Amino acid sequence: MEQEQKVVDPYRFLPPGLAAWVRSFIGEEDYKGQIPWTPLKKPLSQCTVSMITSAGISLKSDPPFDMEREKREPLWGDRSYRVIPRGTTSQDIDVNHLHINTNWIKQDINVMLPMQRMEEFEKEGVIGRLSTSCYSFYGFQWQSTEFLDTAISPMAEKMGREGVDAVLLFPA
Amino acid sequence: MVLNPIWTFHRIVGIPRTAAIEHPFGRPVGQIHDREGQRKVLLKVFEVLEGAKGPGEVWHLPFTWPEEPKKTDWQPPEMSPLIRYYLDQIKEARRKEAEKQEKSS
Repeated sequence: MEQEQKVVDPYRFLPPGLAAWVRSFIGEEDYKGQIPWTPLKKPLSQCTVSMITSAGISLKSDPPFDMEREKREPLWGDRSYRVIPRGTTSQDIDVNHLHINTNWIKQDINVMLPMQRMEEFEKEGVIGRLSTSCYSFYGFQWQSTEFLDTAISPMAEKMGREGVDAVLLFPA
Repeated sequence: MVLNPIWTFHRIVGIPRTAAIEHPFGRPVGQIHDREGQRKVLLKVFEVLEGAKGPGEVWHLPFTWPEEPKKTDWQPPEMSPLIRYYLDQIKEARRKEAEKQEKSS
């Protein structure tokens, strides 16, 4: 269903207590710091596009994200990442995440990491190509700078080697 | 660029391009097996990617989830360790907001 000039209610799906807590640390003021900016250098139809999700998706052939340690240490989140190759389907994946219902993603990967949809757009020439590798990490990272070294840098380096022009991030 | 329900996170981290979407957590692109709906969302995401003119832009996508929030079943089967850990803070935040609303009404 579509509406014209909609303003998204960011807290619509949160229970009232959780919404109040999130609002208490977000506040009302706009961000004051420097925001990185890379202009799109060519039309999307010529771009190599990659995707990342924080949903804790892994291939069944890979080790799952570590939920057990988080259960013991509630402020710790798994700081690794997984490569999800293009062509991956719902049948190929496992999903481990303690903050969402993972069953929907297991039924259809496209609701979180729209692999088949992007392959369609590639065939139709809407995007240049979908990158060879897409990625998943574990979205719960509570004040972790170590995560930048263990996941973000290696993902960015691999994207650079694969000639990625634009990245879509799908937070869980 | 980011497709995110809680677009207000932009206020604390500064995100280059945000497509805000009113979809439940864990299904930002749409409903399962809804190929056409998922495509519509992604085509709007592409519009943001190509159309944003500078850092920090937030575009609100024109989609509304067809179910009431309580029926979306997006939450995990058990309370997450983080929520359990901060439960007192969460209750306190709720109490303070309710108090503030009461005063202003």
